Amino acid sequence: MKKLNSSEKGFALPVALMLLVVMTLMGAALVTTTSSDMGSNNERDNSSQAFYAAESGISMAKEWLALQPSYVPGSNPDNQLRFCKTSLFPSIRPGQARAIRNQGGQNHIYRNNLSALISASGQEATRLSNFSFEYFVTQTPDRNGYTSSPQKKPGTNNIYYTIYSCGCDASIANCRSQNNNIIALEAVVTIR
Amino acid sequence: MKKNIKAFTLAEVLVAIVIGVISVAAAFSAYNYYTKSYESVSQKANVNSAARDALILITKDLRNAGFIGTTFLTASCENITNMRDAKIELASVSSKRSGPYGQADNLMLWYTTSPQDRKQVSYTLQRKQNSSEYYLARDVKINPEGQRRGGCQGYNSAFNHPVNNELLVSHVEDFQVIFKDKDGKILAPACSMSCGPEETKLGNNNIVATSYGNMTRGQANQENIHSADIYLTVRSPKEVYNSNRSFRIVNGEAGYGSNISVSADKYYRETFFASVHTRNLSIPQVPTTNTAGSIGEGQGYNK
Repeated sequence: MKKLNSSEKGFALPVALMLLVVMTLMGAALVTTTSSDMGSNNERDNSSQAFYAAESGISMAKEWLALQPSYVPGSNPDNQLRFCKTSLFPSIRPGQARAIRNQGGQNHIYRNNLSALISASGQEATRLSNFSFEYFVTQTPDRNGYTSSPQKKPGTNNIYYTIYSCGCDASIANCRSQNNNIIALEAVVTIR
Repeated sequence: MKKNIKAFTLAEVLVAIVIGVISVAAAFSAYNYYTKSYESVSQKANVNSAARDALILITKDLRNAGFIGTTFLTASCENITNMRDAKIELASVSSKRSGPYGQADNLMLWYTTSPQDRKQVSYTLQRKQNSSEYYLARDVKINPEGQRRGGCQGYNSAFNHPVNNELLVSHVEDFQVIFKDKDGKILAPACSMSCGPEETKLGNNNIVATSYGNMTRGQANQENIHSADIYLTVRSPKEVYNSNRSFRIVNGEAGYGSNISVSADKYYRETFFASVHTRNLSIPQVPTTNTAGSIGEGQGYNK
């Protein structure tokens, strides 16, 4: 009796345990696949929102440019830039960016969170506050990457300016180039 | 008493066997269900991530399409006399359509990446060797005009053709691109040189007066493209469903897009869509008094 009983025990318990383990593993695998998929979708979502943040920067820069009485190149803005470093832009030779100054005579650098531009409330406002942009403007670099001499539109006296704008999927206080998606954009403009 | 507990009765054994079989069967079917759903979830995830990655790349290329840097050396190997005429091209004419159902578009676009370099990017559906499967291929040529000219110094297929129809997404069934102007009206045809039959059938209406002089309709359309809608239909590599299902793929507006009925099978299919603002192509009419105009907005470069 004792022998029979123990052999029965030995069959059911390992099978049950094994099944439990296998099912748990498979369930875990399913959850992992789904959540990693969700994670990468989120990532893509954030980086496309960062792109639009960078575009907002370009619009802001155009608005600012249109209001300036004069456009004087200043100095290399790298130290004043939070995350929109000049190294992100291959058209500029390292160290040769000359940011256009504002009326106070300082390099004009502007950064803000999207929530400051777009009025929203609740969840949307929280989301917008987690995206930011930063921009600076230089004279359009020549083909060697120098921005100190003006490039003119062929046949006219209009000077080209390039807006360098970056969008980030974190607020300006939290954006770190190591951890965040930073989308760099440039736009060439002339002033009418 | 002692005799009674020595062994099980036949009935007891039978009951034990029945219970055992039922529980093993239940366990097996649960296992089966798990494997199946794992398989189908992973197939869908594969399709999803491949297509989304591809869309990101296409989106980026479309945003750049038509860009000509202010410092671009027109005297380089890419000495394009009419730089306006090579910005974007959509071969959606029936003779040029491709893919497993012969309805997919071929997209081609150009932009400059440095003072010396101009990129030609094309997206087509290519058939896999010894297979009936098609994949979305990306092809990149640097300074293709140099190739066309032949004698251009330094042209080298290893350098000038860095991406030769590389696989971007496999098991693609349809790829559609629809160009629209700023009012959302469909622009077709659009091409750099000659759109072929699509233009021929327009007859005299094919010649359009533009600020550059007379152009063909397809060439003139390039500059009015404000947005591009992209549709990408991808099939799962392995069968997912238990029973046959039939599909109809309808991408894009009737007359310009596709309308494909797929014979019933067990594959999973999904269509991915993206609409891209082609920021270097269109010339929207913007108020000029208090805005700075950018290239592609009002007074573009080289006009």
